[in-house]
Amino acid sequence: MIDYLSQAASNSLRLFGEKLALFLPNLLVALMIAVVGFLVALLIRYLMIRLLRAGKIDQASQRLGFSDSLLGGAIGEAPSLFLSRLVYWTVLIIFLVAALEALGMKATDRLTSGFFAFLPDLLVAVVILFIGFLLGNFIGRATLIAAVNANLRHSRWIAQGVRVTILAFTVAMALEQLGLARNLIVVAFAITFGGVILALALAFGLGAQDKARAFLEEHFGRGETPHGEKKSGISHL
Amino acid sequence: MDPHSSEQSAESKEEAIARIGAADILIGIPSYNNSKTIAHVVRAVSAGLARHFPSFRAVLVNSDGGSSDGTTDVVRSATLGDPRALLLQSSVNPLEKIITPYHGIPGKGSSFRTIFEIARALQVRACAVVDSDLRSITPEWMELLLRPVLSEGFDYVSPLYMRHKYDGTITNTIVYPLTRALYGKRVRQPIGGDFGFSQKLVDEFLSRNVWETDVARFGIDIWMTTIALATNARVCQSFLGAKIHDAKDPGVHLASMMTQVVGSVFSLMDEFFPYWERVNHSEEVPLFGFPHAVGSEPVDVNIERMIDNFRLGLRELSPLWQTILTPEILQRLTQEGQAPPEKFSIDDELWTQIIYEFALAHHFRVMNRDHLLRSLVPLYLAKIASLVLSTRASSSEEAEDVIEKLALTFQSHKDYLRDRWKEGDSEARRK
Repeated sequence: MIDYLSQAASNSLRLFGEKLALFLPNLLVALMIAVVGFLVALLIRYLMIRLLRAGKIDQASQRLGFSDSLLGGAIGEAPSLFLSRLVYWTVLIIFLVAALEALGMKATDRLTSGFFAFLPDLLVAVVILFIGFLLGNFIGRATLIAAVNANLRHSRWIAQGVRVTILAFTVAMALEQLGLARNLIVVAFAITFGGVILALALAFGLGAQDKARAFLEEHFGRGETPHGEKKSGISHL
Repeated sequence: MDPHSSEQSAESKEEAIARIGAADILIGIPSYNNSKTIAHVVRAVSAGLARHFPSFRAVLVNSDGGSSDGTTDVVRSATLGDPRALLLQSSVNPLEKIITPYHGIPGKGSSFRTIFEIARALQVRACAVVDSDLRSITPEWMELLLRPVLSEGFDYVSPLYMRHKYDGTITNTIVYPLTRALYGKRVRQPIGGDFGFSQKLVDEFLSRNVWETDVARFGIDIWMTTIALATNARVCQSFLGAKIHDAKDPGVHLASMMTQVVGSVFSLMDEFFPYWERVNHSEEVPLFGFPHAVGSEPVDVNIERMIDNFRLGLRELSPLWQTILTPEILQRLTQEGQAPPEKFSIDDELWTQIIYEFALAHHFRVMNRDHLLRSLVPLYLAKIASLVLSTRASSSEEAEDVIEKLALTFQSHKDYLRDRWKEGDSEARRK
């Protein structure tokens, strides 16, 4: 019995040792890939910052009105820094996934193959979100200024509404790109459009009920004004 | 058919130029759906040319933006009427008409471009342009706009009108004081709309490629005046009397007009910095005509609405203005925003600082230029409200003194603008 147990233990240890011997080089390679990836990502970030600044992308972005969207929005940094940071993380994640692949484990195999199949869609979705964010802020600001110039009391809410609508559509498009919500755009549009029509109907019905009644009476009534007076045909005079 | 006019029917612009060959005088009338007013303008032009320039070969060019109300038919059929009633000589050179659509961005500037091209093709000695919605134009305007060019050797004749003290407020509060401070010439109506100019200036205008910018729209007037001033052309003014024209709805036009006119002034500042940085004083330009008092149409102003709009801007656009204006200016504006309407005031110094900061922000592109210019509207309305409050009981002459004081303030603060401009440019070069 003791012999049996000791043999089982030694077999397990031997198997563990063999597997460890097989795994350690993979781990080493994975670590090396991760370190190289980190260095490559750093280098690319540095080169991108230099390149984008030489190309005066910050100035161009400022001219187009995108910079203040970035600086005043959630991102809070210049376009050259933001784009190089985005590329840095993309490169780093690719190398980290490659490092996981190098481990040669079934679970990581599935993860990495899934990731690389997903990567192009992910990148396109990120670009859509980025453009949508800029566009939302840009058009939101234009709306705010136009609404103030038109002396509209709720300028901020109107501008915010435009910004949120654009962002909502952008998110829906990004999700569509990722294949996560194929029907979302149609449903979202239907809900939004229906909501807007309902809101307008309510606004007209509640906010301008006298005018609505007068209009209906005039066009479909029995020849009486809203106040019960007979239309004379010359009352407009 | 009118004996004093030779009509052009279905002939193209090129055919008309080839037929006419050459001319001494060209009068350009840009139009877009002005059928109600343009006949009077054409008749006044025809009478003016027949009376003051009977022996000159003259051409009237109507450059139309695709009117759908029969404007071009009105121009084609407009006749001078009985020459005896106008006390005209019997032997008058016929007035040729070229009625042509213009191409490019829809706007007055594109229309003028076509007029300039025809003027160059016909090698005219003097050219004048007048608005098609004028109700107060008289035959004498032709002499006042053309004679300084033909007989006195001037290159550019700017109009001088009698206007109601609340009319032409963009001119009074921004364009005139800024143009005077920058280029050193006291041209009172730099965006008047009715100008006379020489062939030399026509060539200068056409040598510049600006027809895809705001110059092609409302910016054309200030562009022409600035080109004349900054190229050292000989500039004068002619007193034309009252200017009465179709009122534009300020609610619809104000933001677009401001963007195009003020945007053009600011863009020209970029181009002509080497010229205006050397200018330290301003001088009068020669004046032709006989200045006299005329009744001007009253202008409705709603002070409360303007102050209200400013306060709304202060509440909603302050984060935006923080990137344009200094903290001191913003603090002053906040104080004014809290003042009761009767004590509301945007003084000349504050207004000058605001305009100079906007010009600098435009030059250094601190934000999208269209947003920048449109965000000036509530501040502009605040200045107009302040101006109206301070001149309510003033006569036209007293109101003019107020504008003169404002212009002097613009001049006295020019060093600040110049220094900041240079510092910013040097900093940008170092980067």
